[in-house]
Amino acid sequence: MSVKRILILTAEIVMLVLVFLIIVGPMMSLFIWSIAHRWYWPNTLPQEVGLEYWKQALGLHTSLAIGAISIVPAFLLSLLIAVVVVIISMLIAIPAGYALAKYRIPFGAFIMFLFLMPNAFPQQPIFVNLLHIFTRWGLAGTIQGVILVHILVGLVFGVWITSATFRSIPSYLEEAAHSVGAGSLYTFFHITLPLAAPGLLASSVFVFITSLDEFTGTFFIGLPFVNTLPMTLYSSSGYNMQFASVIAIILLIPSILFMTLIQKVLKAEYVGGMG
Amino acid sequence: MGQVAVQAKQVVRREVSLPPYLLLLLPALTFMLLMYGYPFFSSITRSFINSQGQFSFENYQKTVDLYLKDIGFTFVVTVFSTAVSAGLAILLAVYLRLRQSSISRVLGGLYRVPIFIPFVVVAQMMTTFLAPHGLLNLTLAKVGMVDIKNPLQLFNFYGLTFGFVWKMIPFSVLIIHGGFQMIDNSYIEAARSCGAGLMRVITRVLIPMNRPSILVALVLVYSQIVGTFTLPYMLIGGKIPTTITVDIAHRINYFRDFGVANTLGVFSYLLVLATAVYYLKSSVKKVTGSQASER
Amino acid sequence: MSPKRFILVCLFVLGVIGLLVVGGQEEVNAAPAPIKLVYMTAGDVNMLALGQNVLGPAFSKKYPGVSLMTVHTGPGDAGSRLIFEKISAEAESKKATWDVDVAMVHQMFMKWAEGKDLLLPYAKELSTWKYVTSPFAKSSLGVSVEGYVMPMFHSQTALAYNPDFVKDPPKNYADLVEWVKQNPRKFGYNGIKGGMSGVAFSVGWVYWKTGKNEKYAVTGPFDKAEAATWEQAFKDLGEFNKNVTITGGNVGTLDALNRGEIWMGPVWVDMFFTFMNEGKLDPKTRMILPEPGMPGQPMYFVIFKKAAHAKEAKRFVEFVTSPETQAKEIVMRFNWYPGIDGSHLKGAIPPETFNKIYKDVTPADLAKKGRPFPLGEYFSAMLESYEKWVK
Repeated sequence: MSVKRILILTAEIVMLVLVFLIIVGPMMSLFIWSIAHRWYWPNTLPQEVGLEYWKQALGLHTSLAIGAISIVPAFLLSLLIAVVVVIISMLIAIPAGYALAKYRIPFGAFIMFLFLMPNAFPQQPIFVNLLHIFTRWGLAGTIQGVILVHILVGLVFGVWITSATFRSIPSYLEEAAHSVGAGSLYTFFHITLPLAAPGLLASSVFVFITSLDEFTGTFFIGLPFVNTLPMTLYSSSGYNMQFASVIAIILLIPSILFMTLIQKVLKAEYVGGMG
Repeated sequence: MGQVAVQAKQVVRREVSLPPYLLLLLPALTFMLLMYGYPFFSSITRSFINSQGQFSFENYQKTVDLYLKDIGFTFVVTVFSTAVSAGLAILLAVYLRLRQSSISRVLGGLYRVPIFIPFVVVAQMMTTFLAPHGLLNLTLAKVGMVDIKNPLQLFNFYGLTFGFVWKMIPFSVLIIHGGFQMIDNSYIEAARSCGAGLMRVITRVLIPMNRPSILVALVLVYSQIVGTFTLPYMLIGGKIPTTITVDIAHRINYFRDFGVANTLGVFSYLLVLATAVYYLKSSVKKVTGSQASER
Repeated sequence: MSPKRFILVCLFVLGVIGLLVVGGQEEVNAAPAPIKLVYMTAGDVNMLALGQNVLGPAFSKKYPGVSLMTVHTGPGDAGSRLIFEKISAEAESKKATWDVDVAMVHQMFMKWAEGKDLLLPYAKELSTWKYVTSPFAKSSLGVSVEGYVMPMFHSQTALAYNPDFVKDPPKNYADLVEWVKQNPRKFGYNGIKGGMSGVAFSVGWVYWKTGKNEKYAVTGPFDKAEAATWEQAFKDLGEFNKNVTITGGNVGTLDALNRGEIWMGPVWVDMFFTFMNEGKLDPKTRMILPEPGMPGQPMYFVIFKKAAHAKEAKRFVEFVTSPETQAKEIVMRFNWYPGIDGSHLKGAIPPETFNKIYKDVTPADLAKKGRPFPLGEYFSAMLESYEKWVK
């Protein structure tokens, strides 16, 4: 191997180790706390470890520190809501993103910004107002209300990312298809969509994660009847590190699964479309 | 055949005429206006109403008196974190785009992990990790890099930036790399065959062609950081200065003072408006620019 | 998979999920045969556990046909505020009955609810009303609440310290100032943002510097001019802050104690014991209540005016404030101070528990140095003055 290749390889390995440490380092605290029974200064590691908090979290042992009954149903509910939110959001975001990318729309800039607003304006004051409105409409404390809120905060990822994705696709490709007689819909599904696949994937993953992790709005609108996992997390957050860590780890799983699943499906689509 | 040709011409010229985009845009637009419009305007008007219920600038006066430093702090943290995140994200995305080795594949999977961790969890992790006697300091002390009696103080601007960057880089890389992946290899090869070195390929081909994604990442990261509550709350909390979000929570929780809370919100909104306007201006230019260059 | 297939699959999945969601919603909305009492509690997460795992089952055993649904709204005043927002929204919407029946809230809630006609005056109807004689049951931050609240438990702030490093803990605020100069960065509190323990400490500071705690917390009246006299007190606090660590909140202070980063800091006594029982605080940590005192507050049960199940709600509150439940659950299980007068529990609490809870902060200490928080307007004025003068 040439010197250059060795240098590049070493640099790569160093970078890998560094990235690994930076990413895994903070997570180590999480893992350690999830199995800590007793941990205080001056020990670097817990004095006593075990799976007691996991058992309490999963409802296998009754707990004095947390309402363990909430966690598994809350987890399933969060999952359900996230899937519905992704489907609805992407269904309305993809056409919107396409329109904003391909056409010069009057007030287009303003419209783009409209979607950004739920993220730009701090959520608490807005959600208090929303609570009053939803109560009047009978949506407070319902799953439907929570789904609407999740779409509200997730739509920005849907619209902005798909719009940028579509914008990056050179229009001459679509025009070429039209010039050989392809209809708009056919072009969209067989040329544009496969090309846009990576961006659309990113977009839907973010909407999913946003919904799964959404807390403030769900908290305001969902109480007292709708209980999602982030709310259980907030309940114990900071106060009971062990539970917070267990719940956090539980929250990781569906997100990662969703991402790998969508990637597999869209990869097949991508390859198929180009064929 | 003639029908199709006519239709094709209409599709091409449709940039200027009305209906098709309206239908595409309508569901999303109506949703936002319905759900967000009223609460949003209600918030803005509340910022102009004082405790007696009259129109006044009192809230703005009070906010400037008490919280100007915090607003400045929020702005600096956000800009700095966004810049660092974007810079490192571009580098990482370029690396992943240009290099196909087993190491890059591992990195490709590894960097994504923080995306799946909600901010409230990140806040906790960072609190225990960055604490004066937290995992980082203890580990560094064990290898002798830090004296445990004088540990690294990270519950401040630096720790906050680290937390934000930790969470936002994977998000940015996912978007930016997604954009890079859509750049066909032929462009890169063409540039290489013209004699362009690595830096040139990056700055003249990859980044310009991917501007939409990069700008989107910038604006989304920026606005997410401005709106984050849990991380500054747990890491910095009552310190002076702190972020706008912590102050809003304080005003609401202890005073039920929606006047000042909404005023602070307006300031935060203005902070985002500035960058978003910049993005939208340059992306509009990009659309017209690229169309011109593609003819 | 062709694009058409993909869309069809998506729509199918959507349909199935939609059905599940609607179906699930039916289940949630359908009136269950047993009565479901909705109980929202602010406070820390063990409130949730207490409600779900302890009080709920015990209550259902006593009154079959009623089940308790406990919902936790979060720690601190933020949790109480959420309950308030929820109830205001319901009142505004003019619903016939409200979603929430009974709640457990902080004192601040009573200030927000004043004059808004949201609560039921239920307390005097309970058989346990006679056990409650402390002024806290009649007045909350200056708002008259007699008949509207029953205290569930009482909490007090004190300074927790590590006896290995703090050999002679300061007995009053003045000594504390000296100690902090000798031991920079080893005292921690959260300022006034993010947690009531820091707020309590700051309020105690003002009580000390002005000596006017009777006026500010009990008699009043509110005099705007008083705030101007606090300038020097707060500037001194700013000086004091230069030698301390500012933590993130109630938990931040306890965590910092846990990690040995600070040796002393203000804590809530109930959180102190809970952390210790959960293995997050070294068992040798002690507490001291400095002169002239630090604030404490009870948490109140309130029943809402248009509660769907007011009768069951009253039974529930009566149940929790009964001497048996107070002794067994509040004092013995959680090591909190009871909401009803301690004298009614004598004999029900074993001496070991009694000694454990009252070891550092004795009943005499509580009587003498456990102060109420200031009256509403003084409270707001103090918080704002902190922000103004402490830079």
